[in-house]
Amino acid sequence: MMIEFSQVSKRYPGGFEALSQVDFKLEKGELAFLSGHSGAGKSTLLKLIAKLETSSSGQMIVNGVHLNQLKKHDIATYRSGLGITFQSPNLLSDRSVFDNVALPLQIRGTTPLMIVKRVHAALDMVGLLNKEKMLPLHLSAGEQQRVGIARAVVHKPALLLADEPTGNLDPHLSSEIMKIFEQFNQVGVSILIATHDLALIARMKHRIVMLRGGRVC
Amino acid sequence: MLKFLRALGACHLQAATNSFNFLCRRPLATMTTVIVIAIALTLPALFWVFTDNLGQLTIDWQRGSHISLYLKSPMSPGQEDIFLKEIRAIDGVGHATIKTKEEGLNELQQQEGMHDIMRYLPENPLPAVVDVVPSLAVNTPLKIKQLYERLKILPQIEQAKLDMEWLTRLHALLSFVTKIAHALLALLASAVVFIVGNTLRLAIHNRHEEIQVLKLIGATDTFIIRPFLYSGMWYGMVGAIFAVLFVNIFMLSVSVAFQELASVYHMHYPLLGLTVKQAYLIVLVAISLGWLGAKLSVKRQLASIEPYN
Repeated sequence: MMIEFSQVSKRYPGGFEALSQVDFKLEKGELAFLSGHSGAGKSTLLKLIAKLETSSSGQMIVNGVHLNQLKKHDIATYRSGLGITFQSPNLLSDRSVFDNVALPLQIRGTTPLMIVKRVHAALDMVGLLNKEKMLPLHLSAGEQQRVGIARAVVHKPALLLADEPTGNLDPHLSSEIMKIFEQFNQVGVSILIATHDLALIARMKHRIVMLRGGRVC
Repeated sequence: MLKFLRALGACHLQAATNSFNFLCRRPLATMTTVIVIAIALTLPALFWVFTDNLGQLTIDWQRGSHISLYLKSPMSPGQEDIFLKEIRAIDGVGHATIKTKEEGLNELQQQEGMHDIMRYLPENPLPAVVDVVPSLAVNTPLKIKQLYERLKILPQIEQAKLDMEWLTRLHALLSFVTKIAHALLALLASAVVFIVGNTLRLAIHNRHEEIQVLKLIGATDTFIIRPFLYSGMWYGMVGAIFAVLFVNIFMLSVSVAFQELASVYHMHYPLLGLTVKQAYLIVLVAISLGWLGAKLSVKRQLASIEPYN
């Protein structure tokens, strides 16, 4: 099992309960969608998995790691084993596309030769090999999103988390991005994608987990 | 193991070059910080050179301190020569000359009014005197005192006199100046730490987003801090190089005026600048201070930045 949530709740300091008693599983090598309206708890669930937030109660196991027992100084190592991409791709504007994609490899101390090889492979998969020297600001929104995805997969993570990856893209670009995710899934990466674009995911034959008011339904 | 070391080396090299490039991209801001650091380092370095020069100068002046040995019983010229050789063989004696009874009397008679007085004396009351000038190695009041004690107990000597009062005063003054230099050094060294710390605090503030992204993709604190530590070290290094330059330019410009002053007093004394060893030491100390400043400010601030989505 890649992700195993049992009776997980998340209550924010103000008293708002974003998730209540969620049971959720993701098999190894599975691609699943997390859907629901805004405020249904999609982002909170992804944040819990990425250890960007801590749960109020319940048990969470991700790739064999008990998240509640994870020590503060082990969080970075845990996160470096994930691939994370968000609606805003969070690229570093003063570094080239190549350097942005190379970041996860650099933090793992990969040798420069291997970095070049892996970054080129990742950029090739998202179709941006010819733009490696450009700065993110010179790319279109769709291209920036693809750079973000390349950065999320360049270090071959076992689990890829995507929060609204097609949020500000047109339908054509959106389905292209989804195809890229499917390609990664075919090589064995477990993927969890949070999106409210039901029309798009309905066409794809993958499990859809619906969240409503912080509960799985 | 070798692979790990190679990867670590690559990480460090990359952090060093990245931070250097980052500083180069903001030349004006970087230079301002570097110049401030350089000025902070120039002051104690100048003091260092100043005390060094003063120390060198006092070695020459030391020749003024000497020990007079009054001999007990009259000696034949042959005995005097042998005794003089014995004295010269003693460790720490640089120069020794003898003034015989007759020479002493002649000298005294030449003084105003003494000639008549001397005439009434039945015999020459003056003893022979050996004048000892310590060698260059004997350069502290303590060492001179030791030499004095050693000479005093020689059997042929009736009395020994040490003239070193002004040397003690000079040394007291020198050690006072050195202490001021040390205090100034400590004060300005902490200034460098704070300058680097504050500059990097602002740098972290400006690179808030980048740090969030790095934390999001799983960069450890060590990895994120590394380029900042290198920035601190670059600041320290370049600042120190400028400081060395400033000190030497200052000494060069002062040396002309100093030579003019020295020639009025019929002295020839070349002013010393920073030696290569001193310059290296200043650069090394500044690099360590830069590193310390970065370490103190960055680590604390980094903990307050958390990734978002």
